[in-house]
Amino acid sequence: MIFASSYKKILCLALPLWILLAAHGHSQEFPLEFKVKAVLLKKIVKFIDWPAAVNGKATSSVTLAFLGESPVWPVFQAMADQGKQGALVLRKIEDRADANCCKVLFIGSDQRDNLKEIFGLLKGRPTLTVGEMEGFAEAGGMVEIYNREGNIHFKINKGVADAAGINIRSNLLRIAEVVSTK
Amino acid sequence: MEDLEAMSFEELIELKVTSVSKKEETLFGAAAAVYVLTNEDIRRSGATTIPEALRMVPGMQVAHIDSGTWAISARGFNSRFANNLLVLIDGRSVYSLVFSGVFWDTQDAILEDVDRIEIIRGPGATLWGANAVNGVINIVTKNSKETVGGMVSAGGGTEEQAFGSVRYGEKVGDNLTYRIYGKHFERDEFVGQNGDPAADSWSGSRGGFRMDWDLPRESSLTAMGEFASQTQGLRHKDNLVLPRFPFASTFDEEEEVINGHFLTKWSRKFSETSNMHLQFYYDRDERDFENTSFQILNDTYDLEFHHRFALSQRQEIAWGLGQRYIVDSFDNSANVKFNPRQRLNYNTNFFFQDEITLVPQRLKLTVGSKFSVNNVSGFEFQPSGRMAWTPNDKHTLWGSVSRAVRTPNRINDSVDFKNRVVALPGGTPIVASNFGNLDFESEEVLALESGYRVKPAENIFLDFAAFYNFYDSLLTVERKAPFFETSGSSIIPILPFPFDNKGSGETYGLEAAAQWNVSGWWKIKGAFTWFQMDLTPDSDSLDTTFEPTEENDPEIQWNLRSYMDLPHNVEFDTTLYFVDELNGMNIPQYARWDVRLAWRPVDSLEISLVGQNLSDSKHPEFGDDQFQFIARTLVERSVYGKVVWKF
Repeated sequence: MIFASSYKKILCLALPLWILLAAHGHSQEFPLEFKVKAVLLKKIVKFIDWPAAVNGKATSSVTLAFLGESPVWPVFQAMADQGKQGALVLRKIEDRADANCCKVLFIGSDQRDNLKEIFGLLKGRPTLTVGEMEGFAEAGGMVEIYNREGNIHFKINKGVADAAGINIRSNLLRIAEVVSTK
Repeated sequence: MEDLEAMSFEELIELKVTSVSKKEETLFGAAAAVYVLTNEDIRRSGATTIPEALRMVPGMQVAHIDSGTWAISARGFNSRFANNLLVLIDGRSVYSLVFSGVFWDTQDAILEDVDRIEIIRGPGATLWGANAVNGVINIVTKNSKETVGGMVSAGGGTEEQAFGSVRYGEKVGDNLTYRIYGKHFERDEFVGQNGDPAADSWSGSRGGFRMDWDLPRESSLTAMGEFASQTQGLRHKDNLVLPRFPFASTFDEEEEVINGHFLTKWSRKFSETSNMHLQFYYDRDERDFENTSFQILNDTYDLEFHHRFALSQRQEIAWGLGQRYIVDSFDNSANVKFNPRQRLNYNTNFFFQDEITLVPQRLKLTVGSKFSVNNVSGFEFQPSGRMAWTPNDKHTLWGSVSRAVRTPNRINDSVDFKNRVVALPGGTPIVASNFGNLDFESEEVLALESGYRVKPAENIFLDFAAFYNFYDSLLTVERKAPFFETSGSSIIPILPFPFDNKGSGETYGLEAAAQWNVSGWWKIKGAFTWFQMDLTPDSDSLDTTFEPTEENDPEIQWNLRSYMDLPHNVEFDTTLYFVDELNGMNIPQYARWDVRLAWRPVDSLEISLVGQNLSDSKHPEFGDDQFQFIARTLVERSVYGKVVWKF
């Protein structure tokens, strides 16, 4: 009987609390998935070597451009607000024609139908393409950061990176899933 | 965020546990005593079986009874037929209704393909169901997307005489991957008390497949199946061989096990905060005891549905329904009879859980309950409330109150078991028999738990948990007036010991886990457990064996593991385990020392040498209790070598 009475007490305490909280709250926090993706990308970039001169001018900073919509973008914005974007310079581009602007191009999942065109534009240019849509790396993207059953993994298409003159250091390749273009 | 930035690639990739609320959640903020054994932990421990891998987990008790038999429990009540854990392999419950426990001998997999083992100590009944009294073990194998390619491994040694496995995985088209695999092992017998062979060698083979298919609209279909066959020796001690006096003898039994299962799961993700799955499995387990002509056959059919969604920004609901049928059948032997011999058992369940964010990112309350109806004990409810406070990214404090039940099994309600011969005052021999009791009720626990996780430095992680459990309606063995049973021409005097629920008790303890990344190449992990138990039979109980079993669990256990990555792709790993004495069974304390040395000359090839139980030539780990029947066996020092080739 001691058991039954203690449960009643717990119920009595929990129920009003539950009703109280049925009211909506607001949270500024980003889902963990996108925070992890952002942090992973920041780390991955450190293991990439671009050819000495990119697009005609040699730079030490790395510009990360977002094309299309991605929930990872606001995470980077928040990082930048706190000055925690590291060596990255952020840019948001709307026009696919600007795809070759930067060292790193994050392609949002809404650009799935435009992938061919984008990869065509970037052919042979040392732009590291990053995406989170499924099959991105196999389709010719260089780095795919994706959620598999709740864990964030990343794939690297080394062949495409090599062809673009981008060197991906072996210690990164060792922990990545390396794929090739179909 | 700062926290994530400090993590290594590996830590980021491993981030998450699904068990606590069956959804993505960081281990750090979980409101339960969770521990995760990663694929790396298992590989570097040198463990060749799932039970041996569980030794690393704080709060777990793992004891080898003989070569193929283990006693495994968490937070006390350990025995060969321990019944307080719920064990799931890829969502399939491997609980046996025969004794509410797990036949550990047949819970196997290619360990290279095990993604992780999540262990939640304490009641996990709200989400997972009956039997999760002292813990849930969730064994998760890799998605077939992660096992594309071939792998061959083979090895052998002194106890692990020969073993090998083959796996091949492939991607078919854009959206489908599969793997097929096979495994075989031969294990040597241990030694008996006097150094004689213990007649407990065993061998087995299994083969299976897994397929994962991505479907449109973020849905996926998984199907897997397996078939296994095993033969195992068991030295039965003082078992009854009716019908002639002296009735009892020690004899060697041979157990043949054939089992298999098929599981299919359809999942769909609606959004980041909403998903569902529908799962069905069929599982068959058949055990033949050749020398006593006893057979157990279980067919399980299980269907479950889960749905999770955000009710508001601060509330996330998870709910689900499940229906399970177990058709069992026994070929009764001379001394073990089940009445009825066959039965259709069912369990219908519903669960509901609400995770409420009281303060975003900081304070979280989870309340819920499981409700179920089964054919033996009827209606059961198993509620829980959990609170986690994460004041900043370096500390988490959590507490919980929960209730769980261990529902009656076939032995509890329908066995007629001629256990052993005892002498009445005056010396007349009589057969002590256990009888199932149709009025047997569920055993209950009310558990209070709390814990603290802290990252005092970037490379140090500490996890503490404390618990106080109140048990009621525990199983006791009562005594009734003797009678004579006539069986054919013989008349057998029987002293009946029917099962009842006249025990109660309290357990409490502390568990700690630590990880220290000393440097990029050296990692140290450890675990510590302190455990106390106090059992009291009801005043009207006649069971004199109940209270002494409180001495059957070790008070102190700890382990220390060191993983080193040396130059030239060499790994050097050592583990030291300590287990305190089991006073009730006369088992002295023991230390176990394991060492693993591995070399990867090229990425696709790994050669390793493992020494186990190096600190002594042999030692016992578990003793006799009134339902164990296996003659005392000693675990021996052993060595094996192994080669793994991936292509």
